[in-house]
Amino acid sequence: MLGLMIQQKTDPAMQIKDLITAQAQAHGFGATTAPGPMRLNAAERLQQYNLSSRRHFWTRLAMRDVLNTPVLPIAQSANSVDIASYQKKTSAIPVIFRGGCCVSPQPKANSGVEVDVLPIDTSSEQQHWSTFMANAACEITPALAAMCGQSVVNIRITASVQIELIYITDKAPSTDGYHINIDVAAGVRASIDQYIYSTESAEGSACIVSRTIKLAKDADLVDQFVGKIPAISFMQCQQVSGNERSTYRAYQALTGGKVCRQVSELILNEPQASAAVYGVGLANEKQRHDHTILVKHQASHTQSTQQVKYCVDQQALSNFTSRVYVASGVYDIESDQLNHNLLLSNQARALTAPELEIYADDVRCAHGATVGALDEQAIFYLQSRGLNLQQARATLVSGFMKDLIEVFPTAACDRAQSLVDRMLARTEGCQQD
Amino acid sequence: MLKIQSLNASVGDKSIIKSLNLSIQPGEVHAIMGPNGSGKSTLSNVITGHPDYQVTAGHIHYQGEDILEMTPDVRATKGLFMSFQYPVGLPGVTTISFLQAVMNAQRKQRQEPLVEATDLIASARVACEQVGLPAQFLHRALNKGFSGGEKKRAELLQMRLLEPKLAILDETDSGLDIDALKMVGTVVNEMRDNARSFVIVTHYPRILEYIKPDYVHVMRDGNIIKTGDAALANQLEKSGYAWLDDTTKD
Ligand SMILES: Nc1ncnc2c1ncn2[C@@H]1O[C@H](COP(=O)(O)OP(=O)(O)OP(=O)(O)O)[C@@H](O)[C@H]1O
Ligand SMILES: [Mg+2]
Repeated sequence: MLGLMIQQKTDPAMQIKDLITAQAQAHGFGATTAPGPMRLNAAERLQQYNLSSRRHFWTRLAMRDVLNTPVLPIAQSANSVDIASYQKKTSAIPVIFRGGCCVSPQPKANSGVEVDVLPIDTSSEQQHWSTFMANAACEITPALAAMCGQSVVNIRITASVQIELIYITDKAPSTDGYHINIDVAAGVRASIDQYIYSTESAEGSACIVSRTIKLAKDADLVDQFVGKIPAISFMQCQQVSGNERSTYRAYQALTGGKVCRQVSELILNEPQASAAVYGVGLANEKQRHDHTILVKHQASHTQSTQQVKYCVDQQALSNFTSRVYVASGVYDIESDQLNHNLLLSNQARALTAPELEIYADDVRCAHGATVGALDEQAIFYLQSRGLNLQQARATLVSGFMKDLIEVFPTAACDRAQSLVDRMLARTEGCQQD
Repeated sequence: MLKIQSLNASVGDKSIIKSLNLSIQPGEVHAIMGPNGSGKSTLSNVITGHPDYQVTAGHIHYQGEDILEMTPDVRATKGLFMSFQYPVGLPGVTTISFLQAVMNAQRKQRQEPLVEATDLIASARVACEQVGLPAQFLHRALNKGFSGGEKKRAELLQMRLLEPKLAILDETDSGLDIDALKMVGTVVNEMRDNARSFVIVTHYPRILEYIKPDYVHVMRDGNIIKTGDAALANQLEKSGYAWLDDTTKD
């Protein structure tokens, strides 16, 4: 009945709207606003109703200002020499977000990636973002509230591709928020690289990204984020759910940012799903780097790894809060949860709270956290061989992060290493001469 | 080469080195023996510039220069080297990258041409062979998980490549197997020449059979209480340090 109705209409955009409204009514909600869970499932619904004209959908519903914003010459967009040179070397598909909107053109047909900008529904967005704020433990300020109802984007990955998610905040002061649903189809191996750019004029702004990542059976996603966060507040919240034999691996090396806060919820729903987060953070000045991780082992034979290292200098603060939850009745669980922190100044602080909540027996957990300073004896050793104090400290800091960076895929590993080196050249007490 | 005059050094309130004098000429090999806790490592550390020890009186001149105000890296650049009694592990710093960093840091300071990675690897492999370390060790984090003997070999590897002018070997022979002991002798003897000097801190006369010292000093309670030739080491081995109580009274 519903399907028939859709076919009779000519405007695909209207079809969707009507469809959602009809569904909402069917669920007993008001006619004009679809409820949260429904909107979140919009992508699935589109598929379910086998809408062939998804491209139309995109062009129709793309917001006016999205169309009016020229697709960025990225090199000019910000302090982005990096990405210009990097991009030339990759065949990655960029998905660009700027000023609260997705400004990318639809990727070519058959590229293995489909990007949909969804209709905005303020009330459900409000709900989504309030949940996000609660998870990220931040207050809803008027600025954050104003952001509700910004871009919602669905990205469907159906072939082995490399995608770049590029966030550009270049208006001041603004709060750019994006909600991205990422679906990786069964058996697909894909990778995501995230980049964030801003101009100096954007100081005081915030960029807030929420991602819902769904991995189908046997999907394999590498999620990379290496770079210097500009002097804005950056918050990212991701919920990753893994199906049977799916693999999710996040590799992060981040420096800078006023606030760099991440919240990751990794849910292993089906047997043999695995999730890993490898992260290094270098914070100085009065920066604040946080990572809150919740891993849920809901099925047997699931595996998770968290290895996070922070180097904290000057008056910076790092905070690692993590919980591994293992549901009752599941078995053969493996979980690593390690956080090591290096304090480089007397005023630097590192908070760490690795927690386990385990209701099952057959669980192997490596669980630990350390906070320490540089080894004075090692500094003397290096000095006695001819390195000056700064070089000695930089060598040890770089060594501290090295073993973790080395597990990164090659390109990310190289970028992370050069990021760390560049950073160390500027870190107080670690400058090279 | 090295002239130490009435040196007093302490850690906190604790005085460890007391009015110590020592003079080393270019090309000489000096052995320092003495009971545990007599201050041998402290002396080595003070010469190297360890920040924990304060020199409360006296002087150390190296190649005619007062080095007490120099940081350890400046001393190293001028050719001072200490093989640590307890070498320190450097997590995440591979031996080869460490070698490259320290050699080039020294060369840069001395305004010498930097060592190329390929040349370094070639010479490091040769040196590894000499000190009996498999070349794979070059790609392991320095001293991380190395056995006691391997750490000592890695110290010698560095000495071999850094080619210091004055090398202090603080108990490099302790914990080495018999073949390795011989190897220490070979490495030192090969490097020995009219300009290069060595200080061999040891508890065992055995190493001195391979490396013939010009002088043997005995330290006790922060001072050198007796100096002799190679025969002194054997005498000590036979009679123990108590024997000194009788002889030093004379
Ligand atoms: N950093 C320090 N803090 C406190 N005491 C120290 C320190 N370094 C050395 N000492 C003390 O100074 C004395 C001399 O120590 P040192 O290590 O120089 O002896 P040593 O002759 O090398 O002994 P060994 O033969 O056992 O190696 C010891 O009593 C030691 O405890
Ligand atoms: Mg000692």
